Amino acid sequence: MDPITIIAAITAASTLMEKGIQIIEERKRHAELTPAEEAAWDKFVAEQLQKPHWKLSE
Amino acid sequence: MKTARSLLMALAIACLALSVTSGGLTGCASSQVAPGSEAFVVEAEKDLRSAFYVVDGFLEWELANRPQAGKDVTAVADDLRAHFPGYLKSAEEVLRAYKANRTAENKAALGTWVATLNSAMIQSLKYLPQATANAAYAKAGNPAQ
Repeated sequence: MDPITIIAAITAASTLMEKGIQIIEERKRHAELTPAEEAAWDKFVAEQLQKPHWKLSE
Repeated sequence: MKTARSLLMALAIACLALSVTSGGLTGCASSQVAPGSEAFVVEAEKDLRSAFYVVDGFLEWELANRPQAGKDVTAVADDLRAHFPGYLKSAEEVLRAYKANRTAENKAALGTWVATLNSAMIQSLKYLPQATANAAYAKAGNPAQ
């Protein structure tokens, strides 16, 4: 296996684990989101949607 | 090295699945909420954000592993790319409408949208192990399934 493939595999696995940690942190919340938190979330989602993995494959 | 890669991916997928399933879905959770907050809203917000994290992770994974993942997985990913942002936007609009005006009608609408996003999230989780298996299958020198 070439180094680039290994790095890609580790990166992909790390990404999934990172998402899992984000979800665990998310699920600890006990209060409704504030308007500021909603705005921060909207900004985060908008940024994510601009990334290459949200572009159609074709 | 293949074994290490498979173990790494299995661990990541297990972590992701556990993080989602351990929290439960809206209506099932019995967690305490802070004064002034409504449990239904707190759980709905958690579900919307969790669904986005899972789908976002799946799409990132699919792009990184597209050659090995299989066309069916890419087709599912593209369907999510095309529709999930609209679902999320609609769900968040309904959520904010409910937070502003807590009627039974708005609550029912929010429940419907949360279910839609949860369905997309489950679809992503369903395909992750299959995609991993296909990638391992291809890496072993077999033709794409």
